[in-house]
Formats: sequence, C-alpha cells, structure tokens
Amino acid sequence: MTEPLDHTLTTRVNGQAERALVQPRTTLAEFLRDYLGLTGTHVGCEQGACGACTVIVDGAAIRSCLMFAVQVEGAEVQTVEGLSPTGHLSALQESFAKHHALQCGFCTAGFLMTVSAALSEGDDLTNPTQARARISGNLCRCTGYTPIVDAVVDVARSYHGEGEP
Amino acid sequence: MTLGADPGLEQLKDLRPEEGPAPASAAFVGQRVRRLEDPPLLQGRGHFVDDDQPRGVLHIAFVRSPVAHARITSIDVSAATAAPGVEAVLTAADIDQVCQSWRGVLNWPGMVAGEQRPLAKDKVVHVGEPVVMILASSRARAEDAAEVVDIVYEELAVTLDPESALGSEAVLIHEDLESNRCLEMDFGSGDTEAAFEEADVVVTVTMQTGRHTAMAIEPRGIVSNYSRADRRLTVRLSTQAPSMLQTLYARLLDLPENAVRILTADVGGAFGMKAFVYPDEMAAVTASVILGRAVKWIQDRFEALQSDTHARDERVSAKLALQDDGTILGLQSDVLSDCGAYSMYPRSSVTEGVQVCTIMPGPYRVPVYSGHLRVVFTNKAPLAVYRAVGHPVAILVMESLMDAAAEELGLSRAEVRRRNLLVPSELPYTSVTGNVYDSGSHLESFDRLVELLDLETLEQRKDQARARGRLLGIGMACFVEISAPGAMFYGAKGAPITAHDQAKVRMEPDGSVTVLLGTPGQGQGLHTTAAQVAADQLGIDISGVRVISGDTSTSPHGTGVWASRSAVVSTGAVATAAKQVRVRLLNAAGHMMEANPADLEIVSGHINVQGDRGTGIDVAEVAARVHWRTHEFPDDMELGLAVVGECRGPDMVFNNGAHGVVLEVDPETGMVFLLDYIVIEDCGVLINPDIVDGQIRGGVAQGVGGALLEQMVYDENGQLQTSTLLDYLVPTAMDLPSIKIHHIETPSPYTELGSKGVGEAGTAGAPAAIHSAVNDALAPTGGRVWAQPMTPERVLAAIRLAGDPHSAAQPF
Repeated sequence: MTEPLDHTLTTRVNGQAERALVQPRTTLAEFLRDYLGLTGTHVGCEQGACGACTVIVDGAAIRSCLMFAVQVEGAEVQTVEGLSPTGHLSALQESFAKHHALQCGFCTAGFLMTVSAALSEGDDLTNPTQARARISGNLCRCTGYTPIVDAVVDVARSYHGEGEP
Repeated sequence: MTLGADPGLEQLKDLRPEEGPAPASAAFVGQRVRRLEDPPLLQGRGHFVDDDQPRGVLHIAFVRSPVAHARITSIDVSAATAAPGVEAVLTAADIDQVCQSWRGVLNWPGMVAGEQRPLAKDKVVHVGEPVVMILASSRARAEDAAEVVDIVYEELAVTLDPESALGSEAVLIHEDLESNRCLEMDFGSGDTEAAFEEADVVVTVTMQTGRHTAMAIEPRGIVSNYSRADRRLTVRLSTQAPSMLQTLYARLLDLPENAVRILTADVGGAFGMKAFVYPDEMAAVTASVILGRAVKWIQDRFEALQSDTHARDERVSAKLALQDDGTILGLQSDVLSDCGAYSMYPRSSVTEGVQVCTIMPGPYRVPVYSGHLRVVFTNKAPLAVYRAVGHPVAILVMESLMDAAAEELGLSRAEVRRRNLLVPSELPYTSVTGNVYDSGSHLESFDRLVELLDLETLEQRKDQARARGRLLGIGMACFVEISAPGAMFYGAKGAPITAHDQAKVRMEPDGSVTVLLGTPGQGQGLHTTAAQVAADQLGIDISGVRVISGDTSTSPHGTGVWASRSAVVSTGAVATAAKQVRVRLLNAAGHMMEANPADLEIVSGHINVQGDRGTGIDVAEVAARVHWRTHEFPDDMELGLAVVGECRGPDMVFNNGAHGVVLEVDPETGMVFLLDYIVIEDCGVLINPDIVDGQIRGGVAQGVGGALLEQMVYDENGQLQTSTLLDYLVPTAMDLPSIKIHHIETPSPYTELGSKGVGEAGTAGAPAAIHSAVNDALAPTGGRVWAQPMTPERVLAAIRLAGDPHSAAQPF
C-alpha cells in the first residue's frame, strides 16, 4: 500500500538504472537488500559502527545503514555484486582468497568496498600501517585482521590504477 | 567430583581408530588449500538468514522488559493490535498454549534452574527479556506498534552481585527455587590441606574477569514457517547446532522430529553463542505454528547486546603451594560465576564455571587440588558458553599464580614454569581433575616460546621504552585446551546433544562427489576440510568434491559445532564414509579388471594395479558402470556409492601450547599497545594450515578483546549501559598486532587423522599472556592490575595506588 510520503526513487546501482517506490524511512541498506535483492551488503549493527554495510556512493565509501534510500536519488551506487559481474573474482577478491582474509564472510563485503573506494581514490595502501589504518573502521570478529591487511597490501602493490581492482 | 569419568588408559587404547587401508594419497590433507566457501562469500552471494524474504512473510518486533526485575501487572496491546500493518500481537497467554516452558538443567548434583519460556509471564528477570511479540507487514511497522504497547510493571529489588545474591537478605529471582544458587560443587582430589601446610611458599591471587559477549557480526535471526497442509515446521536460522534444535523444537511444540526441518546455510560467526534455545527465537517459531504462515525476526544490535548469552563473569580466589625449588605441591581455588537470570537451555550455564575449576591445573604437574564452584543467578542476561569456555579465566588465574610464585621464590617466570610443565614421558597424563591429556608438547612449546621472545634483551628493551616514556612488559602463558569432548559433557548429563557426528559421501554416476555434512560451519571452513579428507581418501582431485550442509531433512544427524570438535569428529565421519565408498569402488573395479581389489590403487582419479600406472580405468568409468550397467556385476555385490559414516571420537583430546606478548603501557593515559604476539600451538596433525592459523588469529583477537576492551556494564538498577558498539568495544585492526604462529604437530593417538581441535586455543591463552605482560610493565611502579578488562582507568588506578600495601590484594 502506498503512503503520501512514498518517493519514486531513480538511481543507478552497479551501472544499472533502478527505479522503485520507497518510504522516507527506508535505509539504503534496506533498499539494496529488500527492494533490489542485492543481499551481498550485510547489516551488522544499524548503528554505523561495524562497517559491514559499506557501499560506494558517488565514489565515496559510506555506511548504507545510516543513509536513506532517498539520498541516492540520481547517484551512482556500487555494491559488492558489482565487483565481479561475470562471476570471476576481481584481483582484490582473489587476494582475499589467497590470504585467507575471510572466515564467516559476513563482514567481507564491507571490507571489499572500503578498500575498493580507497584504491579508486588513489590511497597508497602498499604500506601495512596505512592499510591497517584505512580498514580500522570495519570490524571483523573472525580473522584477527592481519590476513585482511596482507590481502590489501598485496593487491595494492600490483594495482597501479589500471582498471578496477 | 570430576568433570567426566576417567576412562583409564586401557580404555583409551581401545578407542584407537581401526587400522584400515591407508588413504589413496595425501595430496590435500596438510595443504593450504583454498577454501571452497570463499568464491560465493566474496561475491556477495552467501546465504545468511536475513537474505530470505518469503512472500507474505510477517516481520516480528519484540517489546522487551525495560526493567531488571519486576512483576508484570498488566499488558495492554489494544493500540498495537490496531496499528497499521499489524497482523497479530502475541503474549505468553497465546504462546504457552502451544509451546512448553523449559529449564536449563543438567544432572550435576544439586543443580537447579529457573523456568524459562518464550515470552515472559507474570514477571521479568532481566532487562531485554521479551514480553510481547508484534507481527506486521514490515519490521518498521512492527516496531511502530511495539512503541504503543502499554505494560505496567511493579518493580522488585534488583540483584546484581552474585555474592550478595546468596545472602539472607537476597530477593529470590526464581520464586520456585530455594535460593539464587544454580550450582555449588567441588572439584579435584587429594589432601590439599596437607600440601599447603608443608609448603615452603604459598601465593594467592584474587581476580575478576569482565562480563562480555560473543558479538558475532551477523546478529541472530530466524525465518520460521509452519505448513498446516502437511503439518510441517521449517525453520531457517543462524545456529551452530541444527540437529539439536530439530529435537528441541519438536519437543517443545509436541511435534514428531521428522516434521521439523532446520535449515542453516551461512552463519556470520557464532563462537558458542548460537547454540541454544533462545526465548525470542522460540517465540517466533511458535508464532509460525499458531498462525500457520511464515514469520521472520532479525535482531538488531541493541537486542543482541541485551539478550545474547554473556560470558566470563567470574571472581576467582586461588592459592598455589610450592617447595623452595619451585615444585608445585598443591592448588586451591574458589570460583564464583555470575550466571545471569537464567541457565540457558539445553547446555546450561554452568559449563564455564566448571571449566574454570577443572582446567586450572593446566599443563602443569599439580598433585593435589581442591576447587570450589558456585554459579549464582542475578538480574542480568544469561551467561553461557563462549569461545574457550572457562579456559581463559582458568589459565589467567594459574599463570598469575605462577608469576606470583616466581617473584616470591626469586626464580624467573620461565624457570618456575619449566620446573612444573609436563614432559612426554608422563603422557597420557590424567590431571588431578580427571582430564586426560592424551599427547602433547607442554614443555617443548614453552621452551620454543622463550627462545623466540629473546628474554635476554628484555631489560635493555625496557630501558629503551622508558626513555620514550613508555613501560614495556613481556607476558607468557602456557595452556591446554580441551577439544572434541564426548558424551559426558552433555548427553550423559541429560541434554539432547549428541557427541558423535555423521557425514555422507556420495559419488555421482560421472564420478564427481557430493559430501553431506551433518554439522554446518560458521566460518571455520568445514566444507574445505571435509573436501580435503574426502579427496585424499578417494584418490581424486579436490575439484571433484562438492560439500553441502545445513538441511536436517537431507543431511545426516550432526553434533553441531562446539568445543573445537570438527577437526576430530566431522572430518573423522567424512574419512570413515569415504573409505567405505572407496572399498566399493575398488570391489567394482576389481571385478571389471579381473583383479584383486587389494592390489589396486587410486591415484588422481585413475584406478590401476599398484605399480602399473599405464593400465586400469578411470573412477568415472567405474561410477557410470555401477549405476547404469548393474547387470555386469555379481548379484551380491554392493554397488551403491553413497555411504553415511560416523565418528564418535575419544572422550576428549587436549591440545597445548604457549602464548607470548610484548606490549607497552603509556603511564600517562593507561593505554596498552600490543607490539608483538607469538603463539606456539600443538593441535596434532594439521588438515589445512591456513584454516588452523585463521582460527588461532581469530581466537587471540577475541582474547585481546576480553583482556583489554570488552565489558558489559550494568548500572545499579540493572540497566545495560553498553548497548551499542560505541560503548561495547571489540578490537579493530588498530588494536591487534600481526600474530606469529609456530606449530608443533604431535599427533593424537586417539583420533582418526591424528588431529585435534584448535578453534579455541587462541582465546584460551591470550588473556593470561596479556595480563602477565601488563603487570610486568607496571612492576617498576609497584602497581598491579587484578581485573579484566584492563581498561586505561584500571591501569591508571593501579599506578596511582601503587605502594599502598592493601591495594595489591584488591581487584581493580
């Protein structure tokens, strides 16, 4: 049933135009997961603390649990599903697998998007200390972080800005 | 009273796995094989509970108690029922007609527990206890309606301190029980009084560990559907123990077990916390039965912190008796465990306290011991089991005693340990609490650690740190960790939890293999290790193995994941099943090749006479023939290439090792910085070294959290103050150093592959090592910390009060 405040949202997700009727209170995370069926973005706290819900909006890594769907009107949104559109792992995803940088996998999409955004912004993540600092806003309860740092440093060293990570 | 009957050495020998044909190859076990689980998870194509959105599902929100202890005077749901989008509002009156109540009791002598039900009836006993359940067209609408439910509470006195909960003035939390005591019992054996009398030195510590919680990144959640048409209950949830829940949901709802189907795909971390019947989940299941439709509940983080099981809230007072030369003569401990308001069902809430008592002697030669345990109810969320259950506290206390003994005796911390650590000639060793250490490298692992810590340069490094205004400290901790305990933990104590695991190995007609695991994982790579074992046993490439788990209707009965058992019993079950499939393959191949099956080998998917690689047939060809051309085989030959294997495992196996940490304390801020962390780990044969290392790293991280950061704080009214992740702090990437891991592989003589569990070893030793290091760092100030987490406030208080002769005995 529609409500007077419902909004017809027009946005682009992973390069594809999307149009949907959302409520003002609908978060971006809910929109991606429940409306578009893109369940790769996970919700761990709804408090903006854990970073599992991180996606990229107009190039910036943001917490989709703290953003409303209506805020991405006309914006470009990238989620974890966009990293491997043909089912082949990207270099970043490959590096995570190689370094055993995931266990339960629930926080992983958030790390991938945080790192993707950083690499696209030209951040130098070849230094472990900087890489560690850059991912410090994402919580992981399984890995102890070091394998994630190793994966990020490894891919950063081979990534020279040629194409998407 | 000891934890489990001592099986005696003779019985243990009978449990050695039968000699059978050696695996076709050792191509995959022992290798750092890439995880099968990774590709879908990396691409955002995992399948977690919240990913399910059945058409027409009703969303649930709970109204939870805002007070810690009260009678429920009245509940008015009229406004909520009329709210937009609301389909139903249920209370205990509705739920209790369909679902029974339960008590988390095991047959420990004298143990009692309060009655628990899905929704509170008549009274509430902790903040966050569910009282009313709203079902609506969306979660948002359900939460809107929850806000207009009107409940009148008559508040009662709140009990938050377990010591005073036992006092004569204490208000009963469960009015049908005689007191707030859940369990009181003694552990250990021998004449400790005599030992302490004849001792040259006695040292005492009193410590307190902070209440904390698993904080899995994936919150708990459930989707439940009851079909009236075929009277079948289907539940998807984030759990460690689906087969256990199949039984319990059936019992509580009076359904036959074959009408209950539990689905568990991916689980975003569990750590022991997701192994229970939770009232909110049970309420959701019951609602689906009452309404005959699909319902869904996903907890938010406030609810998680309020209602997930807690852990590690213990006060321990312990004494160690020694000779002048450092030989341990005896140990005594008094353990008080704060149970919270309920003993959780079905494992109960006493296991942690029990293990604090029984693990305390650790890897040392302790001839006599008396441990006294009290587990007490308070008006907090229930305490239960969390990674390393009891070990972190036991080892923290024992290692603190060893450090104190070293100081008192004028020996180095390393030397006092060396003189008491077990050596291989003593193994198998039955501890004074009845734990049997089957094998291990207790002294060797410690010597290795000491070598790597480079203690010779310690004083020099401390001077350098002091020049920078920092206090440097080094800590060491030796540990043992129980893994894969058998039925005596739960089944023998009356709980419907099986200790043995089952797995099915099935070869398809084209030779590809499907393994069905009875126990699904929560990130530890069970599918990968199962595939490694199956591939080796069958002689095929791992790429030909696919692993499925998480549907109790089609998977074999599983023990669930708990107590680091999967490397023993899950892979043991897979190995057993795969071996039998291999026997059938070779029988069929022998018939096809007119050869004796005993002369055949399988290498890389090809079967040939041993030593004659050029001839023979592919596994795929045999598989096709036994499916499609059965007429070519003798009538009495078993041709089915699908076998369910089981593994019971020994009563227990123990891993061992040592942790070492180098850290700096900033005396101005009280902050602790971890510089270096080393783990020496002996968990027997490694099936997948990457997975083992991952478990150790993750375990250490959780141990660091408990040692430095994590604490559930209740105010004097029983209000939980730490209900967001900005208050309850878990380690971030900045809080953990790179952890160096070194392995010793002493195979267990009593497991199928010689492997032992390892999932909890990182957590078992970390709090002790870090505590030892912080107190080492603070030594020049005269201050000591005796409580965890060692927050900056506690560290500063220790420094400030240093020199006060009374302060050293008080837990800060």
